[in-house]
Amino acid sequence: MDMPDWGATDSPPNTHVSPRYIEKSIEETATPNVVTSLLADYRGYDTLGETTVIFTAGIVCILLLRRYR
Amino acid sequence: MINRFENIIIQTISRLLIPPIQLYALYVIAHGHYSPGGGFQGGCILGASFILMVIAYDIKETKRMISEKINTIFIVLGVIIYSGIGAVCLILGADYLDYGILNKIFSVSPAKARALGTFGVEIGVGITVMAVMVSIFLNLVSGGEHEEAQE
Repeated sequence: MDMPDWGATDSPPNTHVSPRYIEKSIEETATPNVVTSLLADYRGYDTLGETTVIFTAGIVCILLLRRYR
Repeated sequence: MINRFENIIIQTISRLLIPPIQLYALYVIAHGHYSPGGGFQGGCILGASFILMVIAYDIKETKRMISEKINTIFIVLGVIIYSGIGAVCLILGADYLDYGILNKIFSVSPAKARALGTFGVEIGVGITVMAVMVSIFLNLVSGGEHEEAQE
């Protein structure tokens, strides 16, 4: 019982999740760029959260810094 | 207070450079399917073009191009586009952000509909990132007054 080595090709994420995305990405999403299809399609919720973080940062900067006279 | 910095070389070069920078930013957003890039990167480049405008000219000149009201609306609009596309998928009967169901609207195959949904999402991300970059820069550089840059 031990953690897999760094970048081990036989660790569980590298044996079924990654090949599934690499093989099926073009036929399921018609997007040649696997990174884009992963970020915006398979992991859409994650990118929605990232956008919300950016949005929150912008709104908080306005609330804290903006001075109306 | 720093006075308006007039330099004919910087202003001319900026005037020549800003349109290609903005065009390149739109290219990066639209070409995210085929090459490295996407909403975050393209939005950053688009925001940088407005920041270059602030540096080369001044804040008043920039706010004639993109007013504070429009910019704040853009901040919200991007997130609304993103979550709106997700909600449209929900209304059409699929899961939230499951773009495949968008083929009911666009009459293409589900795979192409996923590509279109991804593209719409990237546009939303790009709008939000651009507006937030400009807003944070303007607030920091002018001390929240949005009039002229402070020392």
